[in-house]
Amino acid sequence: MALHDSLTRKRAARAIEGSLMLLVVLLVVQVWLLMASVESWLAGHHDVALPAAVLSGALFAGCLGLTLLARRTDRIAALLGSKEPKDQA
Amino acid sequence: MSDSSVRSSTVQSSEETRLWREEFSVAAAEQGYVERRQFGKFLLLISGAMFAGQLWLLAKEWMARARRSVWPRREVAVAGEIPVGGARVFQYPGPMDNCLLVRVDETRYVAYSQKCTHLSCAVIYSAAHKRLECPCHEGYFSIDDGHVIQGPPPRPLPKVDLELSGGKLIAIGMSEFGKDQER
Repeated sequence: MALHDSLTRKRAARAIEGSLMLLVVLLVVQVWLLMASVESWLAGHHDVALPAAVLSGALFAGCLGLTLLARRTDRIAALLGSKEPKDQA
Repeated sequence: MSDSSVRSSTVQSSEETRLWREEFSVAAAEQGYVERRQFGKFLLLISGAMFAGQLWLLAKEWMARARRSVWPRREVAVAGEIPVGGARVFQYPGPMDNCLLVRVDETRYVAYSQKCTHLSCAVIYSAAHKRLECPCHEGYFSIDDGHVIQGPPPRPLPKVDLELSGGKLIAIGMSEFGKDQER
């Protein structure tokens, strides 16, 4: 029972770690994008503002999606963890 | 040390551990689990801040575009009040847009945006070299038309169009080098 519970938690933790890693990658891209677009804008390339904002929005949506996915995984893991002892009992 | 004393010390230590665990019933693994979730939220917050920064840039661009569509007429100086080789800073078209008015010779006045096209440092007029210089990265601009003579600036300086009316210099609009020639 306890072993099963810890396994479920371990799997959930691994899934959350994976989402966190992806989040970090997306965030690095987003930081670079903001830096590059501000530099271009200051250099007079005013047309970059719109596509950069759209792309940044998409990256933010990706981050939000990953966070929601991690939260959902966590909730499911918690639900399974609470059900398992009852089923076996 | 005898067998019984070893056993009693082991029992005592396990008892202490049990008591300690009862007092602080937080498992290290579970603590880490919560911290990872908080870290995820923190990353999402940074991502939101980056997106907000991009939106701010976009809003600034739209505001600037709306302002650029109609150029105001604004008196910037009285002809003759600036000495030959002298310069004066004025704001055009908005109160935050610094421009530089230069009297090149007796009859000729030119004005350019003071923001360097590289990283927006303020350019200054060098009367000795007859050019506009950016002190940050040594970018030089021609005083005749604002084109880049040397350095990292990628574009010429935007020029302020001037009109001499009733002894007064009036700014009537802005143009970029090469764009007006294309029209």
